[in-house]
Amino acid sequence: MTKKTQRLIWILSALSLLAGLTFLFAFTKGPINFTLDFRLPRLIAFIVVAISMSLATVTFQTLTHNNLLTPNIIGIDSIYIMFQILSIFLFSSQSLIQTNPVLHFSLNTLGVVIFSLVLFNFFFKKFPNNIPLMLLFGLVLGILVNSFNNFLQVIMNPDEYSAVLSQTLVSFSQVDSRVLTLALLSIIPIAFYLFKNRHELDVLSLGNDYAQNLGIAVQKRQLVYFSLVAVLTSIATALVGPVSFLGFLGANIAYTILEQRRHDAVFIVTSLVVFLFITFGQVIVDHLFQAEVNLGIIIEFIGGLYYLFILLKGRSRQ
Amino acid sequence: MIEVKNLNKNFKSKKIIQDLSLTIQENQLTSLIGPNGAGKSTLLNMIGRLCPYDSGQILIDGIEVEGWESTELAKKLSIMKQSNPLGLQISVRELMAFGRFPHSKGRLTKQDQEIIDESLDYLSLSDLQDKKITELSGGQLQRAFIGMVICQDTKYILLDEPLNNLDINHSIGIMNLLRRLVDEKGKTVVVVMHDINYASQFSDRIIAMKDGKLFANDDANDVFQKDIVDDLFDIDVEIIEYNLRKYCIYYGNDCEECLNNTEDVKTFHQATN
Repeated sequence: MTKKTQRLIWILSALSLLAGLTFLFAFTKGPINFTLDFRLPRLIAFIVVAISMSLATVTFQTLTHNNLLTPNIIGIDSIYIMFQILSIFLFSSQSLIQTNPVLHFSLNTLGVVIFSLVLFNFFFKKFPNNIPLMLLFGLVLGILVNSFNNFLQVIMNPDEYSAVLSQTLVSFSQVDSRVLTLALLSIIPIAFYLFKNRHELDVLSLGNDYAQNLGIAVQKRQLVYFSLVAVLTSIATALVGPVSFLGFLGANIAYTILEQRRHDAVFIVTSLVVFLFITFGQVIVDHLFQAEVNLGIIIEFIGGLYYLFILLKGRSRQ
Repeated sequence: MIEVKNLNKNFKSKKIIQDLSLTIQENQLTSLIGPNGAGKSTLLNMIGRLCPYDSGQILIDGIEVEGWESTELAKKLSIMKQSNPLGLQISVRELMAFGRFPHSKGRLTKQDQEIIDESLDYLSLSDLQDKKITELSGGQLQRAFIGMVICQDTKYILLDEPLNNLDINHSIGIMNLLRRLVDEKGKTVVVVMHDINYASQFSDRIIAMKDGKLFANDDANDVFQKDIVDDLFDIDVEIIEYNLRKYCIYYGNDCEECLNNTEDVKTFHQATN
């Protein structure tokens, strides 16, 4: 890493620390312990979401060789929500799967991973090197799954429906902290693994033929990375619900300020940028807007505008 | 040695390669020539394990391509397809450093840095090493990609149309470079070529393919005959000799004026011989 990159990472880390402390201690009323009990799990969830969405998006963009994509575009978050609803629909909200959050989370994530692996495997075997087709299929699949989710919720018994809502109506203000420990535990080895393989990802970003030439078993490795992306996206969706543009926003800001694509720097800078967005954003939403607006919606709004900006900028350059 | 035995490849119902058998000798520059759709690039991609084959065998040093461990094969054989400009913001040096990946897995040692320096020198790219590859001209980019292959330091080097989109000056530069790789570094280079004159001037051996089958596989001089080239490309060519080298004239030799001038050509031949 160059001096410039290191300095950038230090500045962003310092800002992140500041953001974290502001979130924890600013505008407290009454006993500090009470506030901390409430705010600390949320802060940890923000860290987990920032890292998981950043790693998932950057890895996904490297594999698809496209900086405009996010894992949500192939409907991974919708599929996670489908499994959440299905398990209540099939086993009732009082079953062990529902009452034990760890079991619940693991099973849903497993479902998503198996589902995405079948999807990826099908596409890589049947239509090798046809990623646009896979993305288009995923896009339509996401819409289909969303409609199916709505359908299930409509025909559900009202008690079960309220159980569904308590799980799917999570947001940055309402973090599902029951799965926090498990999410934290599963994200550490994945982050470590991706970071360890950062050079391989650098090579993959050159293109599949170059990677194959340099001795990477491309198809096998792609499957591994895609399944990790599925797990990471599931974790973020379980904690705060679907956030389409969050990873996109962070990753593209990172590419722009770093002016390079080495994964060690990109992973770190993206995670820090996303964390800053969530944490500062949440402080503003909580205290400036008296928690009347949802941070998720603001991020989608800014992210959407940025997406259009990059899309148009890319077009005019050609 | 690269051995191809009874190789077959179909795309849907179309036969791309049919029962192809040939060997590629070590320490030679071999050119693959033939009309479009003859299966040259497909053959090169299959040897370079970028594309699977349906039946038959491709042996690299006696071991079948699919039997090689990926990283080990990457230290033995490298392939470069027609270089599409990458949208990546990396410098020439960083691009060439990727060639060391099979050896050092991205953690560049001092020895790797020396090899990169040496290759930069070899290609006269040292001055450009910190330039971003998006800012390079076509010829410089092509040299940088070949630099990546040189850093990979493999015994076999396969190149798919390395002269594509290059002007005459850069084309000759690249061909001289490939020649030096064979003569000075003892590499085995296989190139897909379109210009048969370049193929005959610079290569030791020419493999000609037509309709997925082997058409000729011989010393460059022996393949470069009027009847062979005529049949291979279905055109009427003329082979002339000038300064003890053969050149193929493949257009402009069938107009009326030229036919009237056959006498001139004969006197020209006599004069040059």
